[in-house]
Amino acid sequence: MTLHVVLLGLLVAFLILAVFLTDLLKAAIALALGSAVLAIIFFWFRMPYAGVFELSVCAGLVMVLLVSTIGLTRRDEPEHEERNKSGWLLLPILILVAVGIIDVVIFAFLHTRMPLVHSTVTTPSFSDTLWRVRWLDILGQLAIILVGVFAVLALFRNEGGLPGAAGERPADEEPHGH
Amino acid sequence: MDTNVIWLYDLLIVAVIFLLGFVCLVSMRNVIKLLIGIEVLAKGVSLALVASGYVQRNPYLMQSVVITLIVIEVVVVAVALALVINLYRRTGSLDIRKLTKLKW
Repeated sequence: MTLHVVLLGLLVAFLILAVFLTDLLKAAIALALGSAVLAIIFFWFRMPYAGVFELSVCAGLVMVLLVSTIGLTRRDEPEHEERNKSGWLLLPILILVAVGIIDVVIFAFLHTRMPLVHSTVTTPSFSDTLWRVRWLDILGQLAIILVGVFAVLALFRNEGGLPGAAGERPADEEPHGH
Repeated sequence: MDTNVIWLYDLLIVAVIFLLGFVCLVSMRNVIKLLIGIEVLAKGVSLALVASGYVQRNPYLMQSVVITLIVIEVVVVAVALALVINLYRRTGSLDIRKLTKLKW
């Protein structure tokens, strides 16, 4: 129990850092650390496949994508983020109100209606579930990946190649020396 | 540890994570920060799904759903970051308030 609570606290702490750090690079690193903690939580829940995906894809690939984009766009970009001061004061109150409402709803109405912990209809293995029960999800994933690839290609189709070199200034330079 | 207690803890944390994501989406002006907010929301969804799978004792199903969610999340981030790079090349800024015109 202690480990689980500590992991949840770490997850929230890293996500708060990711949201409120003004340096984008540090925010991306905090997000990746949060993903890593979430992967550990997945392992704690005995869901290793989801944990491996979370660790390699979210903490790895997304972090690389974010850092690459920050590197491509951070030159001369002011680091400060304008915020509403009242928003800072409002956040703890909002968190308290949300937690309180959920607490009341759970304990007043849902506590006796929680999901029953009994043996449900389960498939014998993860591969059976993924490839036989959820095979339509695989098709959806393939379609989404293809859509993503074509979207990125379409967004860069006029650039003459890979998305530009670092530090390339927008709108005032010829793209890649054509 | 009682699984229902775990579920309660996780629901509370999911609520806090969702609130963080919404605050980020509402209050931030930098488009990369907005993407980070979307990522934070996705983390909350993943945690909720995994906790539900643990409580229901059906981990394989939830793992496959979480993997699908992660794939969708990565594709969304990749396309959005390509949009961000294009936005920066056109406007020279990452400020969402400069996207007031639909044509560049």
